[in-house]
Amino acid sequence: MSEPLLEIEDLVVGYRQGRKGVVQAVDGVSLAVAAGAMVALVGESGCGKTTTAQAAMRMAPIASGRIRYRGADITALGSRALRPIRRELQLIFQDPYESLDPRFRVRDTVLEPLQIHGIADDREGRMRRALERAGLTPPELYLDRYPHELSGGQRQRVSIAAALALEPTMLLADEPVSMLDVSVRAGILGLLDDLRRDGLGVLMITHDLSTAARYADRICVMYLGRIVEEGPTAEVIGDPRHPYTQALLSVVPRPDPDDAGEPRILRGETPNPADVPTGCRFHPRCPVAQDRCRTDDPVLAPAGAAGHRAACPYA
Amino acid sequence: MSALAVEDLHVWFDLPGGRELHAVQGIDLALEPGERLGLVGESGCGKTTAILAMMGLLPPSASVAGRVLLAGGDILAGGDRTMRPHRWTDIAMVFQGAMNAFDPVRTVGDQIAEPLERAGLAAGRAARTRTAELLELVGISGERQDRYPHEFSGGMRQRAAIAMALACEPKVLLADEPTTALDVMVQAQILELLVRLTDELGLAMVLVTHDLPLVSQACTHAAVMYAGRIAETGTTRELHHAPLHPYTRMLFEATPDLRGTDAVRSIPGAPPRLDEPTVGCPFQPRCDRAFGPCATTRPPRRTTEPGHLTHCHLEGGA
Repeated sequence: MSEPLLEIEDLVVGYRQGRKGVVQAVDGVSLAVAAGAMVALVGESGCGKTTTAQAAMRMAPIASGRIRYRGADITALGSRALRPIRRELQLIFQDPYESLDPRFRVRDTVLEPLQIHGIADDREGRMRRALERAGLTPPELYLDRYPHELSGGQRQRVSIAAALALEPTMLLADEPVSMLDVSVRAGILGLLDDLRRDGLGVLMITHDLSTAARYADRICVMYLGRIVEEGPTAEVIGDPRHPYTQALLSVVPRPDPDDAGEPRILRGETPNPADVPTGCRFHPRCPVAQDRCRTDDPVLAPAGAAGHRAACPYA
Repeated sequence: MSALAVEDLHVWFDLPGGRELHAVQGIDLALEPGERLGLVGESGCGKTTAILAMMGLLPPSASVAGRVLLAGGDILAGGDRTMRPHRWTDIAMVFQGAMNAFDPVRTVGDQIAEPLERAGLAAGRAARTRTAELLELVGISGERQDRYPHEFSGGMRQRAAIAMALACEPKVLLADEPTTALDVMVQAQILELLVRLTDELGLAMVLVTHDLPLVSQACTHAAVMYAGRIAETGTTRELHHAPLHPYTRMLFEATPDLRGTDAVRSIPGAPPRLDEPTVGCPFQPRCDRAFGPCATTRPPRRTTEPGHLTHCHLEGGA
């Protein structure tokens, strides 16, 4: 594997919430994404996956930890110094119905980031190449269309083209297909996969384990602000070690009605980051919790094959 | 006798300029008591419109034709006059986003009791007792009926919405995307609940969703809708293992499987406009098995096993 493009090290992100103090949305997350790799960050709502990506873009308040881009520390860079880095790290949003300006033609949507970043040379060529790369070919067919004249899949391709216009090295995709119809999802995910094969690094945030299993080469499972398990996709899916990952995988609906195993449905609610349990933060819902889990806070430790880690003493 | 049978159901919407949108183009469904049927398809295929028509809840701009039979009696024939006595008491619905539709300034219990009082089934203390029973039925302590919606989590509000739909003991439950926007673990809890309720109460359920694996997991039967028509209906096993319509097969091929190794393929193109008449098979432009008659002739209804139906020119499966 090549040198990491993006490294997140022991990241802590806290938000002040009323008089209750600080809510730690992300509490000690480390991960790295190399060129040509796709890393999936999976977990339930409120687990901190989106906040992690936002902090990597320096769009969330970092309490502690380090963000490195190509080895350089960008944790404390001012907005002027961040500009060239933001050009290389592009964000793709969940909802192409909301992220595109309805008054902008496709041409203007893809040109806008070039204008913002003051790129003057060959704007037209960059714009066309980005559209082609995003699978909108020939570009002439799309240039003068408005978002309402496009399908959901085409809109998401336009927002990807806008990101690609800046020729980034890394994409952060936050639930890039969850608003799209099933019939077009594979096309968008295939496009991200192609870009990754072209050498881009991709950090994909998703709640859908089937998508992560199919497209990512590494999976990080988050629970209440922490990564509780991570490893190569085949390991995490085929040999999950953390009881939370095991439960999550057991409830993923399978297309073949005969494939349904015994779901291990966790009781209770999606946990609340404002109320983190003591010890292992998963222990109140854990089917195998022991006494020590109430007090000992486990850290990620090797489990199973090389590169596979889980934060559970029984993993 | 079927708990619910739908025969040749059509829905048209009036559009400005005297045009019409033919949203539902003649669908047939039949459910036995305790049966769970997944109604699946892409956005705009008419699945929500179809179940709203079964409840008689479409806006005045819609015209409806066909038959909706509850235990053999047609409730659609006399319009609201024949629909009203059955709505909520015999056929009930959990609306899409129901969990976010509670009135924030009234207690959850108050809102569950409302259909009971309106139907004259219970009032006052009896309504409170029944509301507590209903909450317990969906796995919420009855004591929580005096709480307000904001004191419930999303999953609990969805349970409460299901309790509300069941208030008048219907025999048929229509659930529109009941787990969309819920986390996977809460989704599993809600599906488990719906399966248990249909088993215990002998409810027939239509589960409307765009998510095929959800149907494979929670339903016994499925109907795949495309462009206002049923492409294929059968048991979930038949649809997965021996699809008769290429759309069914291509939908499965577009769905990533957690442990699958097959390539995931999107379906090229987009569904047709429904405000213009379709010639031939509506899926023909996107179909990987289209041939001669598909572009010109409406596909015939074809059956292999009893209950396994398709509208497709292909003989011998997709």
